[in-house]
Amino acid sequence: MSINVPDVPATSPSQQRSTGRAYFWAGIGACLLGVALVFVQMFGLKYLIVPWYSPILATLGAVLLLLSVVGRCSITRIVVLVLVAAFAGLQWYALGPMAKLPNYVGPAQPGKQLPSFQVVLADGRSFTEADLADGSRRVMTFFRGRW
Amino acid sequence: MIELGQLEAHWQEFEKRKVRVVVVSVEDQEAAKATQADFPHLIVVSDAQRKLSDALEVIHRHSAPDGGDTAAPTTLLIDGKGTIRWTFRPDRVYRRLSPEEVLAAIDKEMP
Repeated sequence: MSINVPDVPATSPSQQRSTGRAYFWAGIGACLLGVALVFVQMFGLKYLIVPWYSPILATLGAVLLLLSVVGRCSITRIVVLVLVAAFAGLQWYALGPMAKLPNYVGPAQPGKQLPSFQVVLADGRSFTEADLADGSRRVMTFFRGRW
Repeated sequence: MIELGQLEAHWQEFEKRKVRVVVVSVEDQEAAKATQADFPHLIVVSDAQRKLSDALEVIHRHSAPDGGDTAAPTTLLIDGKGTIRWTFRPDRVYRRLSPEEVLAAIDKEMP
């Protein structure tokens, strides 16, 4: 005597719906975490290191989102994947080729005097190369500006 | 401008070594005044006419947010006779020397 047993799916419908969902949210979270950490570093801690962790986290986010797409392909997941991958690529470009400075070959070389110049101090007084020969040692740092 | 805050925070270390910290940008004197107020232990220089930045060839073209020029982040150590003892130019625009690195360079190049 045989008994017909109906086919029962190995996973419940709710489990099937959640396929890749954890990857999806983890991917978004990794990307946003990088951005949040940059803000904390720059504006909270005011600490200057190159935030390599941000493109790394965005890339990790893209990989996780790709896994979520593999789990269940949907328009939403694909769009988010493309956006996060593009964001990661933009960050790598910004920290890589776009940020490259040309090698310095100017006259400010060790052993040489500064050329003649005249600038003004914040209080309006003049400041020239002669002021640099007053016996005081100095660090001179050029910065981009107040922005 | 974070680097200025870091230099300002270490002013006692520079003073201990009898080294003055001069910071230069191509902004006008009004901006220099505001910067001076923010960082009273630094010596803020306005090089709006770029006489110094051009002479030292440190201008980085089209690098400001508005497309204008700025001075590329560059650091010099200058002894009491006005002679350059050490130069640092990073290979990336976002790279800056930390105060600890500047102090280490002073100890090494101008002990």
